[in-house]
Amino acid sequence: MNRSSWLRMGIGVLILIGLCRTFFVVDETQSVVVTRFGRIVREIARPGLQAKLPVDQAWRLDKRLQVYDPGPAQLLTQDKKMLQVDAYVCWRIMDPERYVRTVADTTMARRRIYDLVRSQVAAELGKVELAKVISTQEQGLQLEPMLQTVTLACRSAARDTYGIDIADVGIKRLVFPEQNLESVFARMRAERQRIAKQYRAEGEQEAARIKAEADKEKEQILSEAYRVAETTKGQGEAEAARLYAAAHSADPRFYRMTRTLQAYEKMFGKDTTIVLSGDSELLRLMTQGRGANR
Amino acid sequence: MKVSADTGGPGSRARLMRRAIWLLAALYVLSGAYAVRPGERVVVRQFGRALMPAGPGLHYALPWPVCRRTRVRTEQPRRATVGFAAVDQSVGASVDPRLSRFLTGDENVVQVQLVVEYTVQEPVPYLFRAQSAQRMVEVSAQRALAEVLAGTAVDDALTTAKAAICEEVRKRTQFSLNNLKVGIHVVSVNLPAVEPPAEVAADFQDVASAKVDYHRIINEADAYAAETVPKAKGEASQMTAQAAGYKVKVVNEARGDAAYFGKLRAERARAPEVTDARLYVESMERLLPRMRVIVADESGNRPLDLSIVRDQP
Repeated sequence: MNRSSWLRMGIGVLILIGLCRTFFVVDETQSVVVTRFGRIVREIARPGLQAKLPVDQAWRLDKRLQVYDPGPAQLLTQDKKMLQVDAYVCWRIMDPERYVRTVADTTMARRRIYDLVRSQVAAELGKVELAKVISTQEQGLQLEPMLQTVTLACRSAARDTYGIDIADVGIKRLVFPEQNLESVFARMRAERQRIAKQYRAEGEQEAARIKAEADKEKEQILSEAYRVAETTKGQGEAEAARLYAAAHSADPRFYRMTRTLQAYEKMFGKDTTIVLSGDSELLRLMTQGRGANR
Repeated sequence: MKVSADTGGPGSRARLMRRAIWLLAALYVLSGAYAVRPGERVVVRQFGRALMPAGPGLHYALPWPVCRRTRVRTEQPRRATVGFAAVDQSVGASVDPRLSRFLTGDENVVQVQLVVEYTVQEPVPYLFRAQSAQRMVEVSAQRALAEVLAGTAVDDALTTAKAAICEEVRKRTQFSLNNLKVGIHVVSVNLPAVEPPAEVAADFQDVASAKVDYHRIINEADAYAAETVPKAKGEASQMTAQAAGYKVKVVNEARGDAAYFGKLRAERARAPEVTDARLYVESMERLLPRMRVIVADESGNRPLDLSIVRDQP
């Protein structure tokens, strides 16, 4: 190869390097900060093909949302109850220039966010009672409004100071601290025992009521039946008495005689010893002879 | 290249080179064609900027370095889990219990596992809005779960409210994800496990058996009632039937007696003296042979010596 072709080749390589240092691609996921000799000259948030001076530096920043999960913290509520709060933060870089100037890298950013969120959550949680954080009454619950307040406060602070957008602050787990759990379990156990006892007692109570009800109904039925039965019997007796009276009153003396004779036959059996006077009507014929009969 | 070397001079070699270059260029241009299958989208980034994702069919985008393609299966359900660590772990496998403990509204602690199924609704935000959309789903779902449980009583969470919790968690997760604009649609939320912590499981079990006892005791009482009342009713109808029978009997007997007396009296009226005497004597005839009769002569008016009665065998 001769000199001119070397020269041509050298120029070509230089042009290629120049092009590579001039044009650059900004990805959908990135923001780019362009610096010239260390001074920020431009920030690019829109993706696409961009150009800069070959001497400029392009700093690529990941502008996607990321989750920062600093791990559980033990915080106090207003009524001095200790809670283990597991907060997380969704954040992204919003103002690359400010971000680069103030925090520069993710580790630092996380530390800043941690300080900010931790203190905000602690402050807000310290303003409410435990009964407002967790409650079975829907309207009393302060957890969400509290988090909204925290998010808004953190968002404006982080945006103005660090160029970071805090999209969301949430509490992903809420539990009593490990060291308090034993007493919590003891309380739960006592509560369960109370509920179990109550169920059984209520069962007994209900059963007693059902049985008493049944017994009452039984007595009602039986007494009603007794009333009806006795009435019927009485009617029968009354009817009989009327019939007897009607028949007998036609000849009371004759009735008395026949009835007495009937009674005799029922009254006297073989165990009876009777002493009859020889003078009696029955025996008079035997003891006094035929003449006595008249 | 052996062949080209054999066939001769530099002219033909240069021609071959040119052809090869053209072929490579054609291949390079053709490599921009791509097919999109049903149930997926392909997102093309042209110089880093995302274009509208193409639907199923054959498409073309300039090859690298101008364009980059990313394939997303939008209809494939994806899974995120809460309360157990690994995504690929089967549900119910051993987990760190501390990861799955949550507070309920009545200050109890429950262990909950949650599975979220989601699909990609908008591929562009899904791919580029967050570093890990999966992680966004996980934290959003867990946060929703913590919030919902903080408003639910432990008994409801363990029994009746599971479906309601799932629905509420789904809604809140979707709400959070919508706010974060990550293009995800939450299909379903399931609670494969809601349990009391092992430390108090026995006492929760006892409440369950107390509930069973409650129903058993009441059932027994119901059985007693079901037996007692019909029995009483039976007894009652027996009583009334007996009484009715008694009434019929008494009345009929009275009618019979009355008829008997009436007939007898009518007949006696013709000869009262004789009939009376006959009735009397017949009665004595039947009566006296059955008993011991002592005839005492009272003509002397002496008191009767009753010792004779006693001495008889």
